[in-house]
Amino acid sequence: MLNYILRRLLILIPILIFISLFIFVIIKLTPGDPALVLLGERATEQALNQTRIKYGLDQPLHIQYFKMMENFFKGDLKSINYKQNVISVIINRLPATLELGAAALVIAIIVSIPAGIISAIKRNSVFDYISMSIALLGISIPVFYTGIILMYIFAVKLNWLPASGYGGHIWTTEGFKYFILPAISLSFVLMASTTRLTRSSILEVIQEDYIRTARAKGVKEKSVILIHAFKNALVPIVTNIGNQVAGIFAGAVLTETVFAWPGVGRLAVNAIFRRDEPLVFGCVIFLSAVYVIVNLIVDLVYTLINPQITYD
Amino acid sequence: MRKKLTLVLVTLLALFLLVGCSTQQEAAVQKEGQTSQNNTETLKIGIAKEPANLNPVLISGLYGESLAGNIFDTLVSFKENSAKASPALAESWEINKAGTEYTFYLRKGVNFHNGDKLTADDVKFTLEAIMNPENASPSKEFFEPVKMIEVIDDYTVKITLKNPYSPFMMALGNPTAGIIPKKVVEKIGMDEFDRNPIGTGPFKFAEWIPDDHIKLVKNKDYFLAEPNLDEVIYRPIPKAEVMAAEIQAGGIDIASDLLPQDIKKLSQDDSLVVKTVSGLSLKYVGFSAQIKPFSDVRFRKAVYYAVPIDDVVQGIFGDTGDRAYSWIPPSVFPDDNEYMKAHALKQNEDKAKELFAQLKAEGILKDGFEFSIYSPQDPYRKKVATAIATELKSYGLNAKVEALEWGTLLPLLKKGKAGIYIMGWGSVPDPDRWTYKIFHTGSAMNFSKYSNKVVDQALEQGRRLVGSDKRGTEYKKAMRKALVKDYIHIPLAFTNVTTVMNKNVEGFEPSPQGYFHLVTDKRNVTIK
Repeated sequence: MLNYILRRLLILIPILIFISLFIFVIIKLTPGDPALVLLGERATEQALNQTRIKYGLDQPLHIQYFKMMENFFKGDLKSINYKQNVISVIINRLPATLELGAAALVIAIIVSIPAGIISAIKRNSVFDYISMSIALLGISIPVFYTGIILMYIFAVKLNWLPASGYGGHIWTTEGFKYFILPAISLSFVLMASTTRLTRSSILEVIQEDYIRTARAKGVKEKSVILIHAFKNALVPIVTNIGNQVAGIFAGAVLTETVFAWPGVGRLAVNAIFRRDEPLVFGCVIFLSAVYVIVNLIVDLVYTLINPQITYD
Repeated sequence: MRKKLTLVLVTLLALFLLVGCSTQQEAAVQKEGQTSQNNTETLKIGIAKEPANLNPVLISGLYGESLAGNIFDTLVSFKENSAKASPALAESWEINKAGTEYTFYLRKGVNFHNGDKLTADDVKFTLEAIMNPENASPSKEFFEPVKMIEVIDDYTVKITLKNPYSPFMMALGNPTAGIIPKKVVEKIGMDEFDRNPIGTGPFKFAEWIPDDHIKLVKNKDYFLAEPNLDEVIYRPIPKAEVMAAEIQAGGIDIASDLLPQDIKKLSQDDSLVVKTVSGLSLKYVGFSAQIKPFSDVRFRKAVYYAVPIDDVVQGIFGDTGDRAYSWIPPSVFPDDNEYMKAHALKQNEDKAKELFAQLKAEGILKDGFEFSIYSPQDPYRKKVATAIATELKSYGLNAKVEALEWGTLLPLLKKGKAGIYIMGWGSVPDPDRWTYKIFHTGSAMNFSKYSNKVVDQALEQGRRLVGSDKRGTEYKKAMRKALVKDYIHIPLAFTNVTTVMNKNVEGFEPSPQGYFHLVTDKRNVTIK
């Protein structure tokens, strides 16, 4: 197991090198000039050149790449906009995104797994139709729309919750109320796919021989579903949730923009708009590493769910 | 197991309800204007975009200038939108007859927020920092004519210009010339100062949580008056719809950059006040003076004849702007709107067809010629581009709209690669600032790459004629040549500045430039 983990972590190095090259090329192919965005339309050519020199943007591309890599690994890569180390800029933003993502994930799991199980058991019932229709809506309606609707009802009309912004950590009273609307909005997307996947996985598993055997043995239906069926249906569900955990960083971009949330998603998007090349570079490398590590964790969780899976 | 699960769910539900209730009460209190728990008067302002920095030497763009205006002071002030300079950090000044020597007598007893005394050294340091090419200040161009800055004594500074330069006082009164403390900047460096500004203004910088808020607290020792507000919080809210929801929900006290449909809706809310002023901002259609067929004046005239500009402006800008005929707004010297209106082209299909036919016959306009009309992604300008493209299609021209994000559009414009573009320009009430950067050969915002001797000479002459009415004649000459002879741009609309605010906010007036002036010699914003 330890060997497997080490091997997977070692694979991270070539993956990140490839991603760094890829993202560098994409950044350089994107039309735009960081100096121009920084100084604005009034800037003279002389001021622009000075800024390009200051940030090394006048250097040949391969030198710019190696410099960026070197600085990144030395922890010296500075954001053009924030004038701070990109890693510390990202880490400062991380709690807001992690807490929002975790809250959304918990809401999604609490709602979608029971809904998926009930839909599977009561297949083609009214509950099934309703929950599947809601799931379909959840996938189809953009967060932007859901967010605005929730904001209008709970902040403008009822005045129960703040419309947008960040009030602090989720465990503080002030912070918690700011989490409710964005977490619910973000959870809709997660909920939709998890409900559908839970339903189809359970449906597939309850056709299996061992379920029939369990029923024949006289095991209670609740135990059949919750212990025998659900446990065996968990692998694809966990895979999906794992993908979503990693995807939260990307998926939170819209939610964070709509709710003026100071998280990593919004940071990355703003960095792109501001052509803050070092920050875009840092964000992508960081998010890629998170993605790879979360996938590794998901793979390890499989061994807990299904003892037949082993990496030894 | 079941019991445990039930317990967890009940606890979660109770927590949710508890927080929900407390939130409801707090929100109700907030709506009544007591915006903070410990009775501090906090004004929350929603801004569409976070500034890149708060260092006057380096700020570019409205929000940076708007915030810096409350942290820093300038030598002279144009804060109440007058074209005439009022005393600010300089109590008085003398200008020699030739208009080349400016001597400023500084107000005594003004301290920076860290307690250091403001002296003539700081003034010299600030202006030299703007002029220093290493700092790449976007405002450097305004100080190009400065030859020498001398500190006469602690409170007297003399600035000598290479030649007379009429917009100099305006340059000194802009927030981009806010005086920064020499000692602090020398100690921490320009980069660090960008996000840790120290000025002499009514509010001190307190904290900046990127993409969340920028907090300023009152400077009790402000030389004009102690601010009524204890804190000012600027919240970047990128979505206009969310900005509208926030002002209704009481999350902010002042909202700007709203959509017309939201303004209409908000005007019906009794707890809000909508204030509109004629803005110092223009939207226009620009043409390339280098790329064919746009460089041919007949093509530009044909487009002018083809598009019903009055209808486009009325339909798209509605109550948020007025049709512009001239380049300089009527409120700014010299007003030439009557002449320009009389000479503006009116929609005329026959003339448009005739001119397009001529261009085709001469091979300047090729059959099936495809081109893009560029615009930023703001809904107004995108709609203008679409309206023009639609009209031109009826004349057999393949025009498509490319609404690009700022970072992509700007380099394209700077390189003069856009044939037709919809842009905007806004400035302080001085004709030079309105025209020179756009029309003078090689200027930074001359996206058309337009170059004309008559225009250049008139604009240069306008800079030299300090305080003279003859200045007006020069700007009229330049604008008449560029706009109703060469038709290099079509002015569309002078747009208004609309601010929606909580009824409890007192003393706030929107500024034509979109600034948030909170404490001046004529106002001191408060919350009832």
